[in-house]
Amino acid sequence: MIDKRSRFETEVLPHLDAAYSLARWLVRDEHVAEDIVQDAFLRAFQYFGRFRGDAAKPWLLGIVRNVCYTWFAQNKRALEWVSPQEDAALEAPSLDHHGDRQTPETVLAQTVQRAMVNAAIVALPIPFREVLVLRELEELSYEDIARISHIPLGTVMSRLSRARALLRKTLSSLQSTS
Amino acid sequence: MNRPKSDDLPGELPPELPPEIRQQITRHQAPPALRRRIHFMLDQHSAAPAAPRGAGNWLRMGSGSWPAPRQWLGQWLGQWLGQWVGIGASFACGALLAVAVVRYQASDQAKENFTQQFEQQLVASHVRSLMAAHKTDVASSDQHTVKPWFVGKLDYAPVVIDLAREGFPLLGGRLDYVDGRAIAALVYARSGHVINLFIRPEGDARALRTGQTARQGYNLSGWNQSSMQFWAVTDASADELSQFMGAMKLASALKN
Repeated sequence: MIDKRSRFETEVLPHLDAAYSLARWLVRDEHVAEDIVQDAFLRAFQYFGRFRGDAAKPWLLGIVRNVCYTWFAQNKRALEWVSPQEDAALEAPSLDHHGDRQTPETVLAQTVQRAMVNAAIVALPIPFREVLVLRELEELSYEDIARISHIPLGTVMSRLSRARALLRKTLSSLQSTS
Repeated sequence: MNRPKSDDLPGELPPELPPEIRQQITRHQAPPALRRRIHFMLDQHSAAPAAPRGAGNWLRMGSGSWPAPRQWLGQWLGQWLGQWVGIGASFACGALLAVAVVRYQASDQAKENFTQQFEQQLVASHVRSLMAAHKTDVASSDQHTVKPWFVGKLDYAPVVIDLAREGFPLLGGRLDYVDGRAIAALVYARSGHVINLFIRPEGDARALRTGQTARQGYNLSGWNQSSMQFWAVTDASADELSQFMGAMKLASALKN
């Protein structure tokens, strides 16, 4: 028990920031993100005996991501939550998500550019936001992202390029209006 | 979207974001309070007695996840059994039955131990809330701010009443872990002392005593009302605790 605890602390706990950041980007609410991370760590600790890999980070982020999706399902965020079957419908997602709670105002304390980038990501539909955050912030491999998001490698690639394209498009439209 | 699934990636890589955009993306930092909560939770789950906790986990994880029971049995019965799923399953049934029987026959002594342990956890939670400067997750004397804060964090709605007029102003609320479950904790002040009020549904608990006791110099009081269980823990005097309990009972009775 002691051994499990100390192993958990050295292998899993260092990824707390990554876990929190992912949850925060997915649910876009700091309090909910905290609860999700706590729940995810509890599960991770309970399942830790079964964990045999050496890459604790993608393993933990997979749990965080699942807890987030459970939360979406429970909170019936139909607008937010997109099942894999609906993936095809995402070909041309609308960009007018700007009525969201986390508008640039909350971020504007920093530079305008920074606010714009973050607001543009916040506006991305979840599946795109998810792969983008996992890749750009957490720098995970495509294989890890595929495992975490339960999608084939090819879908990771296409979502990622779509996410980047959307991000650029939103940014240029934001920049032209400002 | 329907790009072929390729095992060797080069050639199919999506175009990169320019670094000046990439670097602007905020990587959120976990707040210190969250770190404390997680350490606290690990304390609770590491310190728990091994046998019942293990059995409990196993029962919870048993549904829908095969590897868990096999792992668990493996620790007890040796690696070789893992290959014999059939035998494993029958042993699992046996173990399940044994756990059920043991639980069913839980003696008064076990209940007493459980109560002691539970009260110990309440006191520990109270002490910790004072030490870590983490009395509240939501600091507000407004019950209409504190109550909604619990929505979505618990599967029940705790009664939140400000008792400032009775001399116990509400300081805020906190989510805590006791007996391996999330529990609502409300924090009240009493002339320099702090009272932690823990609330959870009545159906939850096994043989918890009501009435007043003292533990490590802290006073504890437990009672049931409107199918909820309440425990107040404080370093204030036993008399003040009785007053608090009276005020709380009256106020929540009036509210209903």
